[in-house]
Parts: sequence; C-alpha cells; structure tokens
Amino acid sequence: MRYEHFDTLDSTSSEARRRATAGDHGPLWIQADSQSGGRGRLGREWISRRGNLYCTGLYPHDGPMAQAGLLSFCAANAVADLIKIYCPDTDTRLKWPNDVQIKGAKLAGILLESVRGWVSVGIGINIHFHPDDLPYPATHLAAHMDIDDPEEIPDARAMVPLLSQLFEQQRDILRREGFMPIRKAWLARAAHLGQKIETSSRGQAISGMMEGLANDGALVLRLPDGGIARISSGEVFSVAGQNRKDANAAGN
Amino acid sequence: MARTPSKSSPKKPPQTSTAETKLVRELAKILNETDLSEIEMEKGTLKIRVARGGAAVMMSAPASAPMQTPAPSAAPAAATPPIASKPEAHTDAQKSPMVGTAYVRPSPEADSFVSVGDTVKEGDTIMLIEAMKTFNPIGAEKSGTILDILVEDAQPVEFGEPLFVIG
Repeated sequence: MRYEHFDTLDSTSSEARRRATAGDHGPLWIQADSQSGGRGRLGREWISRRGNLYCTGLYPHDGPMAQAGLLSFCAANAVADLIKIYCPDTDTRLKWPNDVQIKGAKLAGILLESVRGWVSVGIGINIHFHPDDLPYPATHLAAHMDIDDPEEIPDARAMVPLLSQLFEQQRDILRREGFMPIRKAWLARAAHLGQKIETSSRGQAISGMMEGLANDGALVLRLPDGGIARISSGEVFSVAGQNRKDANAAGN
Repeated sequence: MARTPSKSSPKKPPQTSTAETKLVRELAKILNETDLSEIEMEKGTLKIRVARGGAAVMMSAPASAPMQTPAPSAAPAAATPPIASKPEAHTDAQKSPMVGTAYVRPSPEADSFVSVGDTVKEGDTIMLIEAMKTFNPIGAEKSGTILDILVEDAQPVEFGEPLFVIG
C-alpha cells in the first residue's frame, strides 16, 4: 500500500484530486497532521487541528458512477471495524449513509468524490478531541478508551495502515460478492433502525420509520401513511431528540 | 342533486381508475413538497411509484388484483418539475448518469460552476451530483457554449434526466 504523509495540506481529498488529475488513480492513501481547508458535505468546514485523523484513500474506479456510492458503506464499515479495535466494548453505530457515532454523537465523517476513472474516500476521525461548537453532538475516540495515560491515545499516523487495510477488505468483498454482505454488515450496526427519523433535503423534511437499506444503498423509510420512500441523498435526524438540533447545519 | 360516484364497484372500472389517479396526484404533491426524488407506495396488492423526471410514474399490480387500467397520464404533470414540461427541447441535453441531488455550485456560498452563455471545454465540471455522500462531478461531454441549465441547485434528479445543454 502506498502511503504519503504530510505535515499540513489544504485537504487530503484535494491532494487526492490533484494526484488523480495528474494521472495517478491509486491505490494511494494520503494523510495530513492538519488541514487548512478541511471540508464536509456542502462545503461545511471540517475542523482540522493536529491530533485527529485526516486521510483520503484514492482508488481506480471503472464501474458505473452510481456504484461509487456503495464504497460509502464500505468506508463506514471499515471505520466501525477500526473503532472496535480500540474500543471493543463500545457500541459504535452508523448513521445513514456513513456517519460513525457513539451514543448518538459523531465520531467520524466520510465524504467521497467519484470521477471517471477514480474515486477518493475522505475520512476524518476525532481521536484526541472534538470541536465543541458544532450544531450537532460530537465525540472523540480517547473519551471512550479505557486508558489512564494520555500517551496511550493512538497516534493518527499509526491508524492509516490499519484503516486502509480494513477498507480494502470491504472493497474486496464488494467487488467479489457484491453489495449484499456490505449491506448486511452495515445494517448490523445501523443507527435508528426501526425508529422514527426525519430526513432533510433542501430544507424540507420528511419523517417516517427507518426500515432499512435498499440494494442500491438508498435509505428506506416507511411513511406514516404506510407508503415507502427511498432516499438517496440528504441528512438524517433522530426524531427522538438529541441530534435533532443539526436540522440546518449537520456536519460532513 | 348529483349522484355520488361509487368508489370501487367492479362494474364501474373508470371510477376505480379515478381513485388511483387521485392517489397518484396526492403522492406527486408529497413528492413536490418534500423534494424527494421518488416515492414508492404499497397498498394491498397495488404498488405505485412516483418519481421526478424520466419515466415519471410507474404503477404496478398483480394480474389478480381487481384494479382496472390505471390512468398514469394524469399524474406526470404534477410530479414533474415545470422545467421538464418541454422535453422535446432537451434532446441535445446531457443527461444525469445517476439518481441523486444535483448541485450547480461547489458549496452553497460559492459561485455556480458555469452560467448560461459560458464557453466550456470537454471535461469541465458543470455540476455535481451527490448520492450516499459521494460527490460526482459531471463533466461536459463536449466543448461549446452553455445554452441552458435545466436543474436548480440542490434539486433531486433521476437517472437520465436532462441536466444542461451545450451547443
């Protein structure tokens, strides 16, 4: 696995895009100790001070464009697998499509970019700290680890080889066996399954019960009138309450 | 006083169709109100799917269902964004390669990638389509001038939906 480390970058995904545009479609993992322009979904800032993990995996992608979105779930599964190594007893949950949560608080965010010939998987994991001025609950890994000495907090740099390996396992399964095993693993750790949730897109909301994950990765929602809605893009909120405050400004 | 039409008498199939049409209309209204790209609904043996753009309405039911031929022609007008009301004008349009949400600018505060009248080169990013938090830049398939942009920012799009015209 090729791996490149940077002290600082505008963003690891921007670097991945530059590499890809220059003809290098990976596999390559890029990590930076800090980012000056870390971004989440819809251009939202991703606080990127030193201490947390900021990395992007770049891979060749020659399938249909829509299929790149399935790697979103591969990445979510991989991060959940990684967290389990450090916090074996912690209940890590995945919020559709790929937010990684502990007790409803966001631990990691994932954002992908897919262009003809390549796909990049940007992953941010809060390790040492989480920003406290976010419009949604957040958390960090060290807060859930059974450690006495801050020195025992894992180093972001050391995580990349492990994370890239876990992601490649998921990607290999997807390529070899299709989406079903990925979907199954994702559903086993899904947040909100069977619960009432609200999705928001373009400031509009629709609520229903989270029924599952469609074969193409769409969120399946049971509407109050018994109908089914399939949602492929938008934010998900728990109606039960605690992460509802991110209605207009959810992260990543 | 006018007679109230029977709702589901098997002897009066057109009335049944009307009931289904009404349902499709209601779903189409929900679709527009919520900005979803598609809604699928199952009620007994009847299955209705309403989606924006493309093949706007699909209804299906097992052969054994007592339903008569539905009247899907009544619904697309309600389900389809106004912009798609002149599909014949979009035969040259570049179409969406996937279901998702289209963004005509890189972030809500940023300028649009392109405007009508701009000259673009093949491969230039014209918009983004997002699904499952995966952003897919849509590049111009040919060089030329942007004649029309057929979607709004953050609009849900279907597979095959016309996005923009380069001439």
